[in-house]
Amino acid sequence: MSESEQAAPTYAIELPTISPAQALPPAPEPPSQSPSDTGDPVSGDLGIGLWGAPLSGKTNFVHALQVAIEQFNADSAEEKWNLRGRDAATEGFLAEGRRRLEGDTHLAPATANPEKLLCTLSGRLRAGRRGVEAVRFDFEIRDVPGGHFLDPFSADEGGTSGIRPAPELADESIRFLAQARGLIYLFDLTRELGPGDSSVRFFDHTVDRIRHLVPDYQRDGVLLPHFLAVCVTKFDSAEVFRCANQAGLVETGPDGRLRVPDEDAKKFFERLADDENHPSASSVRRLINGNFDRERVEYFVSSALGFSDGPRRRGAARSGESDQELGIARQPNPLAYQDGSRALRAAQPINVLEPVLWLVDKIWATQKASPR
Amino acid sequence: MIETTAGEHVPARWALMGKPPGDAGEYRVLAASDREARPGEFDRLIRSLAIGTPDPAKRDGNGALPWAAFAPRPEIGRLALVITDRLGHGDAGFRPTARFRYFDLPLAETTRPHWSYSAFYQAAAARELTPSDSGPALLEFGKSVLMFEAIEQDPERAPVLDWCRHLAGLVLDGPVVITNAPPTRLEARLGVLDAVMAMLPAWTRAEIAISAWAPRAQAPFRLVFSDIPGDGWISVPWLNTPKTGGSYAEGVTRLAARLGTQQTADVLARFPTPVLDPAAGATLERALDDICYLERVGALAGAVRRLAGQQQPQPGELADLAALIDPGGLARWPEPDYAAISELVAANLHRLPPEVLGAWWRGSADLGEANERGFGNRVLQAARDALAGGDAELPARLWRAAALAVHDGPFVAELADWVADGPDTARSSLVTVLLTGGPDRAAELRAAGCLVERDRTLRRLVAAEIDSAWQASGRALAGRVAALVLFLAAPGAAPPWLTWLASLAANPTASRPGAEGPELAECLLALAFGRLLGATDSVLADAFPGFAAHAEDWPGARSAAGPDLGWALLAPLQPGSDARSQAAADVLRVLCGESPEELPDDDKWLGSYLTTYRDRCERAEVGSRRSELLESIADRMLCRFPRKKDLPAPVAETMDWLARQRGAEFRAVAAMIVRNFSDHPALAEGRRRPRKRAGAWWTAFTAVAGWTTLDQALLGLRDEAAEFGPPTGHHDISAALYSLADRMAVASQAGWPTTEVVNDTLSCWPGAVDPALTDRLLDLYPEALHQRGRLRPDAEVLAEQARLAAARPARGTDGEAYRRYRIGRLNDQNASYEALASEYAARIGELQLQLEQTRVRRSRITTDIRLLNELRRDQ
Repeated sequence: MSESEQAAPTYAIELPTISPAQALPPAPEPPSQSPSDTGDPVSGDLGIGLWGAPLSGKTNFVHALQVAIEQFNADSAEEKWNLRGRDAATEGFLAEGRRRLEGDTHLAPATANPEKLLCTLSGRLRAGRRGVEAVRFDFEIRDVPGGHFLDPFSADEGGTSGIRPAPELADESIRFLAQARGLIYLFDLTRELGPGDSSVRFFDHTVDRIRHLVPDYQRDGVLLPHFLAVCVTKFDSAEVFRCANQAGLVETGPDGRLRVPDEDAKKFFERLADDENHPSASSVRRLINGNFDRERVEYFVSSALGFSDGPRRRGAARSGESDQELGIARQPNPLAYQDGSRALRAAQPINVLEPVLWLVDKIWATQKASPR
Repeated sequence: MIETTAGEHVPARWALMGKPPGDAGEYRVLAASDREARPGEFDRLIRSLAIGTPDPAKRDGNGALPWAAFAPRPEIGRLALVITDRLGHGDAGFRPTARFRYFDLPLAETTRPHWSYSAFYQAAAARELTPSDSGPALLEFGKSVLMFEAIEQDPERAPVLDWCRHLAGLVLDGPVVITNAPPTRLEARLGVLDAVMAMLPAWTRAEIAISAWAPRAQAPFRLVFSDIPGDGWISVPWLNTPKTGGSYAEGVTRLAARLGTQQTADVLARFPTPVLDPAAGATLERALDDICYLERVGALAGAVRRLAGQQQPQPGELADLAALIDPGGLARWPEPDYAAISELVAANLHRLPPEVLGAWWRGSADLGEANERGFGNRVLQAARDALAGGDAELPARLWRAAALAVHDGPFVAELADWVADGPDTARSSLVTVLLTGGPDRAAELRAAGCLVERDRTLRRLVAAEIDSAWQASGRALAGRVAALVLFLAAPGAAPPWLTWLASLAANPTASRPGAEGPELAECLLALAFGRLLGATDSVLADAFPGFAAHAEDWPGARSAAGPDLGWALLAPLQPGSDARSQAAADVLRVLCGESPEELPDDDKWLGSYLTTYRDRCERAEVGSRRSELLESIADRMLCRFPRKKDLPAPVAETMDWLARQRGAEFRAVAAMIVRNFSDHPALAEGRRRPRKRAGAWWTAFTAVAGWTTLDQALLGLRDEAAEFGPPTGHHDISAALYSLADRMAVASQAGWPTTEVVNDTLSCWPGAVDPALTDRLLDLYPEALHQRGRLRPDAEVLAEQARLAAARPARGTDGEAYRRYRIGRLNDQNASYEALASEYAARIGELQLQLEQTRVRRSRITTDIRLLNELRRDQ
């Protein structure tokens, strides 16, 4: 077991030195965990589950919330929103995301472990004759690895040999979804075009587990009680945009941004599901309709990062040919450069805040009607 | 200087977690040394240590990769390390991905001298892993040094050590997060963690998880660099000395002030386990115990040094010194210090009391046989020198030190040999030591046990004492001799000694060391029989049970005393003047096989008697004879109160005490009570209708006897029936049958149903196979019932019930046989009655004929009389 001492590497264990510049002042106090400085707002607690396959954009979705709120506030004269973390870890997570979405930076790393985020969404709403009403929602949202929504005992994920993950980690993530009042499901059409498991596999296993975990899921006999916001994500990608555009559903909004109007989002998803080129969309539609109350499901076509404003460095970015044909100026985000690299440009989120507000509104209304 | 042993290769388990290039899936374990590990085990372990999401693209700040986190896994005895660093490729979404390398080592490795976390990290970081690898990885531990001495000399870095000591104290108190650290290399942060852990006992590595960076402070870590503290964490800004590090930090700072940081770390590294109970108390408490221990050893060193410089040590100081010595822990003290103190002790043998020497000697034994032998040789040499120089005291004191230090080592006997061969004064001193109780009498008794095997030494000691007593008083066993023999006959050493004494006693003229023959044997016998000690009852009562209990191991004495052993033993006893004396005497009587007195009549005396009796029974001297004492008192109590429903309080209390006995003793008492139940109607009555106030003893004994239902209540009678056996001779038959019938009658008197009585009797009685014999038994049953006070008609009814029970089909073939026999017998009787009836009928016919003839004759006579009267009248 032993070898000659000469052959062994030698190094000194380091110990830092003290210099006055290094002795920093004590850390600031973490933010208060129970904000009560919003007057006397209507308040409520709820859990919002974020659900989607790996690479469907869950982390970016949460990161983009603050940017989306800033956009919203800038565009709206009366309604204003504010999002902040209720603990230091959430604050750090949101701040890091916001920094990244300012642009010219690298992509968010692949999520390795669940992030438990305790948020407060507070806002000022116009409430008819009563004028402005202050509201506040405390909610918990979790950014978890998409692999948690795959059956741990099924075939190897991604088609690559690996050692089976610990099932209880994934189980906790799904348990959170089951206990949440509202769910945001991110449907990633681009996943079907690349390697890896179909989106359906991340949906059917999870919905099956939720049905087991929710004791009173049999709303109307068979349906889960959750509100479900289905977001067809990555609207900025060439594939999704092309589909939407070919369906004639893309419009330019009052803010000048391209989007599929919310009232057409369901139609878009239905068209995807009817298209035999997207069998997974068809399966997901079947599972949604079979497990959730249609009155409690809403569709959105979203993009956490939005369209980018063009290349800022050497090597022209590739762009969708059909876009050129249509004469619509757009570039996906992140930009793909000719050397194969990707770079994130300043985010301009589309339909990121809207699903959250829709859920909040629905849950709040239900809560007021029959407190759970 | 902390330094690992260079070039050692340590096999480690490992696992690799990551994503293949362009992968669209999740982070997962791609390969591991142990494919058979529990499903998800490595996945779970890695994720628990690499908390949060590492950002491989982050290039600056402490959150930049690589990360290193360590956590003990006591359940499998290993220390885990997870290194998180960046991979060169992205996943299907072009996102930068990380790589997680897991390694674990046996925890025992971490308590090796000069082990460090930095060395573990360096060895593991150098080990590349690929998905195609398999089998354990050999980690090459290089030479890693933590230059404490150099750091202490460096004014810029010396305060860091002080800070680390405070952190060590805080970590024991709760989880600590180091915040606001400026961008610092991972290796430097590991250095801080190493310095902190070096200020803690080595065993804490098996309890404390640490990390050089975590996105937020959370379990399982107890010491971590992070910017986000968790709830309940102690937040220590970088290099800001906390106000207090607690008692531990103060203790380790004092230690460092005396020994220097380097030697403090060396000493603490010698604690692979806590000095006290490893399972007791929190981490902080056990670590404080270690520090207190080290401070005590430090004080010990100082005390011995002071002592060496004094001519007349103060007694108080010597006592303190003995209290400071903690055997089993000296091995953790720095070796040069230990050797120096040991030399001081050896040089001051004549000054140090036996307790101090003994404790030190025991500590030396813990350091290895060579140390023990070396110190022992010094002691023997000192004893020889003292004997040669006419010093009578030192050898005896050294013997006591040896007795306290070693249980069965050669020194005890060897030293005693030297003393026994030495001058009388030395022998006398040794006897004085033996007779004067030291601090650990049990150790001295064990040492005496070692002496017993050395006959020559022993006899020389006893003989010298006898000679001395003879010369002084004309009595061989006067004074200390008796005490010496008593000491040597104490529990543990008694049987061999008594054998030896017995051999002397049985052969009074045989070899007798040093003095004339008869006196010794007589005196020993007298001692053995208690005459010598018979001066007072209390002395005898205290001393005697030990002898009596060993009497069976003592054939020589028994044969010498003959059948009167018991009488000889008890002769000195005066009639009991009070209940206590009577109880003590009765204990002796039982031990000697004699009958005890009856229980006192007076209730007050009875309470006192029973209390004393129980107290005597609890004494160790009675040994294996205790069962007899218990049976005796149980029997006497039940005889004394056979019919009383509510026993007097002292008796009930004593019955409860009997019921609390354990093992063979309880079984013996219970069996006695079960066996004799029929002699105790009170018990029988209780059994039939359990009394609510019967007490714990009742529950205990009935439970052991299985007396929970009536159908089990005839256990005793069944035993009796089985003992009767098939009778042989005519007289035996009648006597035995009647005796058995009487037992049945007793059972019936106690209220048992006749069917039960008959069934239980016949199922156990060998004679029941003979229906004729059974019938005879049942013939005697009404007689026995009548004798027991049942009215005759009632007895006859019960007898008829008994016969019916005996003939029931439920009794199987025996019942059928008896039924046939009974029918046969009744038929026979019937036939004989019929014959008799015919005979009587015939006789009635004859008699009627005779009656008729007589009537005719009478009529004729009457007619004749009438005719004659008429004739006379006519005449």
